[in-house]
Amino acid sequence: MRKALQYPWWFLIPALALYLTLYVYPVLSGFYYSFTDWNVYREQISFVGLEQYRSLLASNDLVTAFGHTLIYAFVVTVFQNGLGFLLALVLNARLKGRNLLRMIYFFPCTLSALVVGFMFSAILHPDGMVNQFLGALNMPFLKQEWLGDGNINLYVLAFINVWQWAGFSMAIYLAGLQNVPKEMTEAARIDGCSYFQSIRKVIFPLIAPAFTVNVIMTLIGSLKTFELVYVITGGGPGTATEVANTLIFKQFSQGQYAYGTAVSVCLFLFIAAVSFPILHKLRQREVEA
Amino acid sequence: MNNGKYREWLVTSFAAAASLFVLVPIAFIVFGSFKTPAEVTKLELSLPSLWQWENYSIVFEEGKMLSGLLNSAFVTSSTVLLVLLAGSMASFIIARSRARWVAGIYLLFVAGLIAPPSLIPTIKIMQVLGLANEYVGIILYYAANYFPFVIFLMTGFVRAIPRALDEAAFVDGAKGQRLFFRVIFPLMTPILATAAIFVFMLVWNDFQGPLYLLNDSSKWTIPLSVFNFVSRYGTQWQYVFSDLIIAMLPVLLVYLAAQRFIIEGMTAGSVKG
Repeated sequence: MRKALQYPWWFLIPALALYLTLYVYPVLSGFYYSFTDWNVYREQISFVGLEQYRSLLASNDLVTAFGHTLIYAFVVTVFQNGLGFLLALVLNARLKGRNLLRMIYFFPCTLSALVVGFMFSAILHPDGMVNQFLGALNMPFLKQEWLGDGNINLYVLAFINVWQWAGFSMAIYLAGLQNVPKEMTEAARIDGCSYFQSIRKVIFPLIAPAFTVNVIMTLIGSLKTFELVYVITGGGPGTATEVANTLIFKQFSQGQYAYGTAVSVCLFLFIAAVSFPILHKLRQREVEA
Repeated sequence: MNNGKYREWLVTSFAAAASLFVLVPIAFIVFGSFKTPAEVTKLELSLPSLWQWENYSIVFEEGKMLSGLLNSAFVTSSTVLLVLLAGSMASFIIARSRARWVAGIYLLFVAGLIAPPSLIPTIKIMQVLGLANEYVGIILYYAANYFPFVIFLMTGFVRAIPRALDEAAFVDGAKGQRLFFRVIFPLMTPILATAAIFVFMLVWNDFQGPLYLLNDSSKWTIPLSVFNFVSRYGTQWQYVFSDLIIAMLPVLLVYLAAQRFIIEGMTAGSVKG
């Protein structure tokens, strides 16, 4: 007769206690605070129902910020995954200096968003390197106020994010490509598939898990974006690049705690509403593939 | 055969040329950090005509870099130790238990990968617990934030360690704790290394946390000192660039030393579905 193995259950306690107190509880209590009038000027917090949400909608803050967040997340997810996949395909082949190239492409994601933000503030400055380069190419009409023009700077920010994180996506796709046996792509080529057909029919189904991880990570990460935007444009000019997390910080620094927390709650629900259906869809696709 | 060689050469040179998109911006700030004020305002990509090494010593003094670096080193290393220890212990139980409630706790942790943290209420609870503006407060905040990632990573790893090993140890009379610290924990070295590197980078680079949670400038970590420095010296690019280089140097060193671990770690752990 064998005694059941006695695992020390208390091992769960340190991590769980911390996580519950400093992560789960703030998120949950945020729901409560968003129904109050909590701000920096008030001694007493009282319940005001949907007041904060009503003024969020009335002021247009929420629609503007979430619209921008969604555009940003869409651009980042599409281009970061496209570029990351392309890089992975190229750097999975037998090349000279492959490891060095992988290392270079991965490097930017080890930098702080702050460093990347200030670096591109200089590079995309109206008199900066990019505009100088366009001038040197005799194409001065392409010069832009990359970061100051409210019509384009949200997209520019998204591309800076892609610059920083494409190498990270590449690494995940590279990991996925290790599961693709060489014989399979070779067999497909011998059977008369073109290079692109072999990618679509052979490689893509096999790297479906990597695709799911990547898409979900880029999507969630970019919906939560804060540092890059805050550092480069601070949400401006006006509200041209205001995203959910810059709006939350703005309300926080003005002492509008309940209002800011209501935006947090919306972001929470928004991320859940966007990512769960996509996750579900992608998982289904993995099973079918 | 010849054709293949030619293609390999073509693709290699294309990939190398494209890597300039990564290297040129970095080179630009490295060169700029050594320039004179007059030269750097041109914002050109060029080698400095006179290398101004003193830019760095000025920034190091003016930017209070030493304090920032020490604060970051303390906060980051404490977080890494805490997350690795408590996280691996929890992962061990989660991986070994077949109980429903443990599966529920695992799901709760994994949900933290998706849900954004709620920072304004976090400050509130920090105040209640007397942790506001304290090193301990921000360390515990980071730990709570990175448990989901670390536990997700490690649970998968521990599940792959055969249970037969546990049974053998129990027969030998080892208690659960000893089994973990003597047998399982050492086997987890590769995943501990990967987790340590990622948590190190995430915490070292994080700006949002201390922006909300640390008012006291003597406790500021590197990103906050950089941000504050740039808002004071915004137009003196040579100083801004040296400041950025000092801030990224420690991560660069860790990356160069550990980069094999990073990409291999990702290959092994995170994406096996």
